[in-house]
Formats: sequence, structure tokens, C-alpha cells
Amino acid sequence: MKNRFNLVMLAGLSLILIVAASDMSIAPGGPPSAKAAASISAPVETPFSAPIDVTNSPLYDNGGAIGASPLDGSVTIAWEQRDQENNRNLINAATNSPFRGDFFPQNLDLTTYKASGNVKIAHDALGRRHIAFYTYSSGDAAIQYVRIEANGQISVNEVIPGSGGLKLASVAVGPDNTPHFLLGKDNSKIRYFHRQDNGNWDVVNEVVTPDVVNQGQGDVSIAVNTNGLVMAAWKGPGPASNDIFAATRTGSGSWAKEDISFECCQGCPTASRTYLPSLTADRTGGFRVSWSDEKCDPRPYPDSVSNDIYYREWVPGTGWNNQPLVRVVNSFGHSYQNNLVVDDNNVSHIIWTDTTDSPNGSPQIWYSYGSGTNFSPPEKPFTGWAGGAYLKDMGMDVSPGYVDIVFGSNRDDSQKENYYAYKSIGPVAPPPTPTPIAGPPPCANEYFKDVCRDGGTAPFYTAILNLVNANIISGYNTVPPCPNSSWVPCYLPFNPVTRGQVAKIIALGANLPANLQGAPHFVDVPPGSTFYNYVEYNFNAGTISGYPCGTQPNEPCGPPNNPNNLPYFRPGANVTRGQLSKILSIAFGYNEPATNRQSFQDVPVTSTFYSYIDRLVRRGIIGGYPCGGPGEPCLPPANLPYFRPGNNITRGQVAKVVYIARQQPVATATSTSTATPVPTLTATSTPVISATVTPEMTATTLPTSTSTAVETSTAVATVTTVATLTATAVPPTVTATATPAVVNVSLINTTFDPMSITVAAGTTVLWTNNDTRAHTVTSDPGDPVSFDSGNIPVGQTFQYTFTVPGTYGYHCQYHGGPGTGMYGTVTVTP
Amino acid sequence: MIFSKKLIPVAALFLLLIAAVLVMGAQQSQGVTVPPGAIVDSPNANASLGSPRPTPQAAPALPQSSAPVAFTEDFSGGNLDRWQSLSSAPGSWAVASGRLQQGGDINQEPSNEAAVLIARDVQLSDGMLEAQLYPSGGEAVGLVFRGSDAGYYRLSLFGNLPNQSSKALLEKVTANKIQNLAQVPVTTWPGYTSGKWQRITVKVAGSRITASVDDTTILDVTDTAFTTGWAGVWSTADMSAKFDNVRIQKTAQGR
Repeated sequence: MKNRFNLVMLAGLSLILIVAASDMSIAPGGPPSAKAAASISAPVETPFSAPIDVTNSPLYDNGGAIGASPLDGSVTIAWEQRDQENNRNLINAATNSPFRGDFFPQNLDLTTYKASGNVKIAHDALGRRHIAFYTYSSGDAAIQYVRIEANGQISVNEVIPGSGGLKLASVAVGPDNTPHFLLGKDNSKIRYFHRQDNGNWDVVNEVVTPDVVNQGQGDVSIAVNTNGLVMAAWKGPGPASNDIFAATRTGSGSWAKEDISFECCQGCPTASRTYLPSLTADRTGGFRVSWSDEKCDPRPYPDSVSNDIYYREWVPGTGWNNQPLVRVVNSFGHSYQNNLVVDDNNVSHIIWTDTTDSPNGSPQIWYSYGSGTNFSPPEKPFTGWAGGAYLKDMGMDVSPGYVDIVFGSNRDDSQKENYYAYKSIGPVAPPPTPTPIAGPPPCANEYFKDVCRDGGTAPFYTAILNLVNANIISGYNTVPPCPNSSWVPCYLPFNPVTRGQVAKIIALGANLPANLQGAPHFVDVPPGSTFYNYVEYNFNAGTISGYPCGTQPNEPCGPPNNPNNLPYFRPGANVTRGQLSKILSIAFGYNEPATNRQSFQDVPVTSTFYSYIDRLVRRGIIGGYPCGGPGEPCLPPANLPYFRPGNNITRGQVAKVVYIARQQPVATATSTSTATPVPTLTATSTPVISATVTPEMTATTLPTSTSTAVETSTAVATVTTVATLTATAVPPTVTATATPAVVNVSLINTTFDPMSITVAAGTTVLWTNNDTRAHTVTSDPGDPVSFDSGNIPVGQTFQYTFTVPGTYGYHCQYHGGPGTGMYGTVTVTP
Repeated sequence: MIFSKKLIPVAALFLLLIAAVLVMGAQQSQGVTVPPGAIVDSPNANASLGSPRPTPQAAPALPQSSAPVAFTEDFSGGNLDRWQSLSSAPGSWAVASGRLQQGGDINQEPSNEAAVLIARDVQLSDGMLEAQLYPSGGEAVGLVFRGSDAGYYRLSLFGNLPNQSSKALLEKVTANKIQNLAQVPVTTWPGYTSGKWQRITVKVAGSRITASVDDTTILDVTDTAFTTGWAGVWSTADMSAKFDNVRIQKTAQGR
């Protein structure tokens, strides 16, 4: 019986242990675990690749930063190269694209100034690389910002305004693909900067903490979560030596600071010394941070400091509260220089250096992955790689399916080389649905707590408030959909907009007549429903239509619910960009002939939405996305941008385009033709105005398009260009026999020279590419007439004859945009 | 007794099951609570990263001097009162366990820049500068001499890493550049051994400069750029090198 009793006791005890042990393996946030073996969902399929020498130069190459494109996995590495013979440091960048492992250096000398390392890179969703480093631009230190487009072109290279004297930089990109910076220097305050895509630095030198902190290089880190919330982390003075702090940006100039490493120094025998926070956003609206921490290490290394690696998670809703301080590694040696990234499966990956198992005393690289409180056993990927791998020497990033690292080593060259290595982390699961943020609102001082004057929602700020004041739109006053009460009222600018909402916004924004004739027209928008009036106004204005009944199982025809066989409107369905273009264009009375010039790769002139999009683009109401994105290749020679007509349009975007449309002059609805304007051309027409172009070819005198005209057009190889010409009103006084003057413009040093010219109508402008790279001459949206050279190779020319008076803006599609970068103007006088 | 013997294990099992349920329920209802001051170790946090390196032994004494000693330092005083950092290459120097250590607080200076520490109140024209060196890692470390505002000589030694780069350089450092005056083929000297004391020496006599490691001459060149000035030690700022028993002997002029 005694044995049986013991067995029962043992079974009971085992049960408890099983319960406890099973709970230990639950991540994230499991209770303190003992030394039970960890059960971690393994994302790792392969070991790290053999390191690849990226630099291979006789100069001293400090390892640097690495950014991996989410589009194709191509990797960009930026590093400091020390030319000590000439007492000059360079910042170089190299990219392997698009073949992982086959590194094709594309070295870019990013600065001619004396520069230092501390290079940081952030990739955005468009494949653009945002690089920051410190430089001596005019004798004093400052932070320089470089943006490299997905196609490798450097589009921005400037010293950050207001960064004079600062040496520390961290850069992160938010959901709107704009760069956020956390800058600082020793014994100073940490500052936040933000640059909008239009080049405007809307936040400069915003103090994050009033504390004057003593930082080492790299002791600042910034991240932006999937909801656009900005968080900063840094090493600051704590109750015992120093701690790691983090602060979320709660509004313009407002930061909520917390000491996130403090707890673990209570009761510890050793001083609290923390270093090098590595902050990153996860895929579900949270943040994660790791750092190096000396305190509480019971085994201080005999001849050096002995730091360990710590880790903590910030969860939407509760923030840092109840999130444990996790010690990832507790080593004899000096664990330092950690880098943290989170993959698409929300698994954290950490690399760091440690001096424990080092044959010659130099730090070795270690790696672990996990989340919550569970991390894999540390592994040393590169056995036998000696040499330093220090702060400026190691970087890490993640792209779909891979972890990429860069590090410096003097194994093969006493002057050091940069090495790149990667490992597969297995198939990528679909991204989880972002958890609605429930922390403090991003713009607590604004009317809508989620629409700020700066940052990612700034482009919508004016538009939204304007339309609110005009009683055209309103936000939300309840929770949900606002994440919590502190967010009320909220607008949720990144949410898709529904057809019902659009009906209201368009009806009010375009001031459609209150016409209920024939209502109801839709079985699913009955009288009394929220959007009934607005939907009917739109229907009677011809802006919207519905879907015939009987095409979907839940949209039946006939009794009992649809005895009149009315169509369905689907008021809760989302609206695409193409659909909105049509609705907006009709509602605002834009009905002039389209240009028949293709502006977007994915909107051919045969597209249902072509003419509507064309009209909006010419007015500057809506734009597209640069080519080069996933599934959006740049197709020469035009390399047209993409419109994404099938993508849902967001609430913020709708507000913006309606606001801009309301600023436009009221359109006159007197156009005589709504048909495709490709009329009366003959087979002898050419792209250049010639004798066959007659004065009667004006928009107002054209007959209704006929099948003959279409046939004629298709018979002409240059129909598109011809159509462009005919779509414009050629003044009758311009005769085909006139010999136009020629004015030359040179394309040189990525500029148009002269930048602005004034010519008489009928003048031909000849652009000659005297530069060392290809360019385009592309008219701006809203020009009286559109023109586009397509790709102009070096040494080639493009000419265009201006016949319509007015002011024409134009730009290079590769190196500029309307009014920015490489652009110019032509003023045509009568 | 029989009754109780039968009931005890049953009751024990019952109680244990209740306890287990309570534990589970508490954890599920309360979520995870981190007690103040607690650190949660990852289950693999204490996995071994390998054997720790041995603690450095005391540095060997220098051999008997052969000329008047102008300066000597064994760091037994525990301070750097007789030293100063070069303002253009300060680094982070400290005395620990009777040794000089660059990167004593490695976290404060994680850079690849040079860190130079020079002896106060002593000038070296002709004579010998020597020190015991205990390097960690393969990066450059060595001696500086004949320094002034115009510049200085720098002996740079690298670890015996398996590459063909020179492991010993004599450089002329000025405000504008660092110029190689001589580099020793790796076949002549394979580089220093980390984790081991070795005596490094520079002798200067007029324009002749010779350098040796543990009495093996590795470099012998002539240069006239600098004739006199301060002397000291240097290290790449991030490599945590140690020095001991620094000594300057003068064979000719100087004070």
C-alpha cells in the first residue's frame, strides 16, 4: 500500500509538473521557466550560408547596416570605408539584386564628406532604401539622409535640417513608407525627425526626452508599428547607472516615456548597466526590443565586463505591462551588440556577439530565435571567424523567408572586409490580421485622435478636417470602431471605405441634386436606410449603378424580398480606386475627351476606367505608384507608374481626392462628345504636326466618333501620339505650313538647362541628353497638353512642338516629379 | 487504519487534482504577472556558449635595462596619473588588476578608431620604448613614439589571423593622413598571438627605427620625419588590449 500511495503521489505530482511544464512552453508571456527544454516552433530550415565577401577592398571596411527588400529579398549593405591614406572616410552601399547569395556590388559613394560609420538602413514596402549616417558636411557633424529607389537610383541625398552636431542615428519606416529618425549625441537630448515624401521635413528636432543622456554610439533606436505609432528607445540614466527607456509618440511634441529595464535591477547584486537597445515593430501592431545588460549577472567575466542579452515585448492594449523581462542568454562572456528583427511569422531573431568561446579573444557571432519567453539554444553560425564584429560592424534584417546579416571581420584581411550571410527561415505564413491598437492615440491633441498634422496621416489632415467642417464626412464616436475611449473621435484613415460611405461623401462633396426620382432603385438600400438619399442622388446623377439581381446566391430576384427585380447596390462593399475615379469624375462633371495617352501601366486606354482616371490625373487630383513594386515591373521605355485600379481606396484617400476636386474650378458640362476622341484622322497623320493636321481638328468641332474613325486610327501606327494631338484644341490660326522655331534644352547633371523657358506658340523644343544617364521629358499632370518622351538614352534627343499657350510643367520620371528633383517649365505665349 | 490507508492516496490524488486545476485556472484568469524584480530566463538562457578564456596571468618582468631609464610604469598604483590620452585619439583607458587596459569599459567606446595613451613629462629622441602586451582579438595595437603636434610614428601589430596581410606596419600619423612607411611580410612575422603576454619593443637611433617582438626583430627602417617627442601605447579602441610594464630608456639626448 505504501508503494501504491507513493505511486499515486508521484502521479499527482507528475500531473502538476506536466501542467506547469506545458504552460511554460506557451509563448508569449509564459511564467518564469526553469531549465526545461524549450519547445519552440522552429522557423529555421537551413543554417547560415557561408559568408560572402562584399567589399574585397584594400581599404579598411567597417561592417555596417543591412536592409533587405520585402519585394524581392535583394539586400543593400551600407558601410564605412576608411581611406586613411587620404584621411577620408566614405559611406558606400552595395546591393545584390535580385539573386540571394549572388552578390553584385553596386558601389555608391554616398558622400564626399569625411564621414563616420553608424550607418542605418530601413527598407520600405516600395523597395526603397532609407539610409542615415553621420557626416561632416561643413566642419561640424550632422546626419545625412540618402534614399535609393527600388531601381537603384539615388533620389534623395541631403543633410537632415537641424541635425547639426548630432552623431547618432536610427531610421525606421512607417506604413506610409516615409522615414522617421531618432538622432542624438553624447550628453544631449534625443530628437525626433520625420520627412514626408514630398521632401518636407515636417518634424525637426523634436525633443523626445528632457533627460540629457550619455549615449554610446548606437544607443538610440526607433521603430514604427503597423498602425503608424512611433516608438523610440535609448539608453538613459536610471536608478542604478543606466536603464533602457522607451517612449511612444502620443502627439506632436508629446512622448510617453517608460523605463523598461528597471525592474530587473531591483535586488540585483551588480550595478545596472544597459546598452544598445535594438527596437523593432512586429507584424501585429506591437514592438519588440532587445538590449545588452550587465546587471544581475552572477558570473562576471574575470577580465572584462559580462553583459547578457535581454528581450521584451510591447503588446497593443497593455503596452509593456505584464510583459516579462526575458534573459535570452546568460553567458560568462561579454554578450553585446545585439540586433533584433521580426519575421513575417512574428518570430523574433536576434544576433549578438559574445567573447566566451573565442580562441583569440575576439567576439564571435551568436544567433537565437523565438518569442515571448522562449528562445532557441544559442548557435554560433561562423566557427573560426576571428576578428572584430562590433557595433558598427554588424547588422541584420529580414525579408520574406530569409534572415540576412552583415558583419566585419579581419579574418581574411587585416584591414577588414564586410561579409554577408543569410539563412532560410522557411515558408512564410500569410500575415496575421493586425490587432487594432489600443494604446494611447497617436495625435491626442487633434480633433481626430488618429489624424495628425505630421507623420503618416499628414497627407490627409487638411482634407479630412476641411470636409468635416463642410459636414461632408464625419468620423467615429464609439468604441469600436475606435480602439478605445482615448481615441474618440477617430477617423480610421487607413480603413477601406464602403460604397455607402462613398455615396454620401460624393453626394455632399459634389453637391449633387437632391433627386429621388424613381427611387428606390436598389433592393438593399431601402427608404430609411442610412445611405438611402445619398445613393439615390448618385444614381440619378449617373455616378453609380448596381449589380443585377440573381447573380449571387444572396442577391435573389423575385418575391418575397425583391418582387420588382431591383438590382443590388452592396452598400457595405469596398470601393476600388478605379471605381472611385469613375464616380468622382462623373460627379464633378469632368467629361472632356480623354487624351488617349496611357499614363499608367495597368490602365490601358481600353480600360473601363481609363477616361475617368485620365481626367483626374490631368487635374492633379489623383496619382499612381512608381513602377518596380511586386508584380509591377518597370517596362521601358516609358517605365510608367501603376494606378492599381483594383485596389481598395481608403477613407483617407477618398477624403483627399474629394477635397482636391472641390478646390478645382467648376467644370462646365458643355462638351459635345463623350465618345472616345479619336476622330477624323487620316492615314497620313504623323506624330508631328504637319500639313495634314488641319484647323478643324479641335475638340469642339469633331464629329461624334464613328467606326470609321476607329478603323482609321488603328490603321495608323502612331495613333496614340496622334490622338494626343487631336485631343487638344489646336487653334485655327496655327497653320500646318508654319515653320516653328527650335529652342534647345540640355539634360545635364540631372537637371534641365535652362530650367525654365518661354516660347511662342508653334515653337519646337528640342531636348538633348548630354548627361551620363538616361532621362525622360514627361509633362506634369494638369498640363494643357500631355507629352512624354519615354526613355531618352544618353546622346539622344526628344522634341515637342507647343501649340497651345499656357504653362507646362515637366519632369524626368526617373529623377524627379512635378515641381521636384529634375523638373522644368515651358511657358507658351500666344 | 485500513480505511484511512485506502483513503489517503485517493484524497491525495483528489487534492492534487484540485491544486492542478487551481493552478491552471489562476494562470488563465490572471494572465502572466511578472513579479517586480524578476527576470524570466528563456529556457535556453543558461546554455553554455563554450569555455571561458583563462584569466590573464601577471605580466613577465622586463629584462634588465641597458640604458638610463627615463620612465617606467607597472600600473601597481592603480591610476593613470602619469599618463594622458591623446586628444585626437582618446579611447577609454583604465587600470584594472594592476594592468593597463584599453576598453576597460568596452561599451563606452565601441568604435574602430585609434586610442592613444602617452606618458607625461617624457620625451624620446634616441632610445628604447618597450611594453608587455596582452592582446585580445586580431586588430591593430602597438606603440607610438617621437610624437608632437606635427605627428608621430606608430607601430601597428595585427594578430596571426590566417590571411596574407602584413601583420606589422610602421606608420607616420599626421593630422591629415596615415602613411605607411614600412610593412612586414607575413612570411617574416606571422602576427601576434592573442591571449598571451609578449614584449614589444621599438628602438630609435637617429633615423633608424627597429621593432621587435619577444626579442625577434621584425622591422628595421630609416626615416627622418620625426626626431623627438612623446611616447606611449596605442590600440584599436574596441579590442580590449592590455599593457603592463612600460619602460623608456634613453641612449642619447632628451630630458
